[in-house]
Amino acid sequence: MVRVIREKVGFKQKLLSSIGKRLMFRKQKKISKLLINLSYREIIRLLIEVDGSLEKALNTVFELSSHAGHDFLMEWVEEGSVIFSNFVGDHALWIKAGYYSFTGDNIKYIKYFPPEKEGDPHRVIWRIDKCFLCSGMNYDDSFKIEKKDLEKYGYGIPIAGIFQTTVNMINEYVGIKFEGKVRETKCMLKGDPYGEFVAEFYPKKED
Amino acid sequence: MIPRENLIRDKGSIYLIQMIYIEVFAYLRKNLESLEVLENKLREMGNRIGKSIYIYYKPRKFSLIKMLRDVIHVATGVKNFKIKTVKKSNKIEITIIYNQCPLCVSEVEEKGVHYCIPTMAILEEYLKLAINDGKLKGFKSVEGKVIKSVSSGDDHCEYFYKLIKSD
Repeated sequence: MVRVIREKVGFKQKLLSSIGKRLMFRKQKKISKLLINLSYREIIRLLIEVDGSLEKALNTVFELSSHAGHDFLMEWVEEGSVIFSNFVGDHALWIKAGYYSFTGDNIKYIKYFPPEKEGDPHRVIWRIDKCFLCSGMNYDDSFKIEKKDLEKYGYGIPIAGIFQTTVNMINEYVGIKFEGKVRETKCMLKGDPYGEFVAEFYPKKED
Repeated sequence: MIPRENLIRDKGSIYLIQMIYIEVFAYLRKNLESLEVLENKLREMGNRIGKSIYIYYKPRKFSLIKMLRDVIHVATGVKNFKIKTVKKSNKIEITIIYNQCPLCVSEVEEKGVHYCIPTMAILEEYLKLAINDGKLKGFKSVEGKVIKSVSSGDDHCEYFYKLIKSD
């Protein structure tokens, strides 16, 4: 079957995205975010034991989450394909829908920035003002985190890893010739007022 | 930053933790020296989660079964589970069956060590603290183990707890 992908999302796809993300979240099996938060803390603790430092543990989490959940994410991509287009800037809409589908939380700030000059990537920046991963870590006596330990990676790094996988799956699915790299640029545990992520899209080199 | 207590009734997709845990489990299995070490680390992981849950969600029901139902349902957010009990003169044996625990995925078939030891160990620690805290009267100790696990090829996850009565 030949898939016809529109040039850019319009009002109808935005409306579908708003309804669809709620339905997707609703039909999923869910657990308390307290359990997610504490399980993640313990995963990091175990990885520190194996890797030797928080920075190395966060790097491992990023690497592992960048390859995580392929089957589930593919299912999400296929179900979400009705809102896809060929325009790289529409990743802002898809990231927003994806984040809600997993967490039930709305991203209030998300923007697409086209390249300012030649060679710059297309960028999508989003901010989260309540992070269920960081929550409680600033007063957790069993796990002390110093700001200096978060210089290279923020504590919410698996979100970057999972979205790096997702944006590249979408690119491949619709045939967008860009490679997505996602980074966490602000983290509330570092003292930033919100968590911030940047998805950068670089043109794929032709073979 | 949101206080942790506020996360109790807030729900997220089970995949958020399953996606990461599946990769981390494989990484730990490869990098820890033995399966025994891995098993101990996973039990400690679950026990520490149980300890923290106890801080943020103290027992509200003081009969054993009601307490278990309440903490599983509210603090972990798992809905589909069954509890069976066998009363004996000096102990109570409890079996908890999850259709799917928060960690297991059927795509994995793990041999040698139960994948969902942390899930079992969460309740083991929670019950231990409730006993020590005097919230669960008439018992002196608890010990849990994994009997079945979806990720070991079983069709459900099953945990067994032995609660020894006080003298």
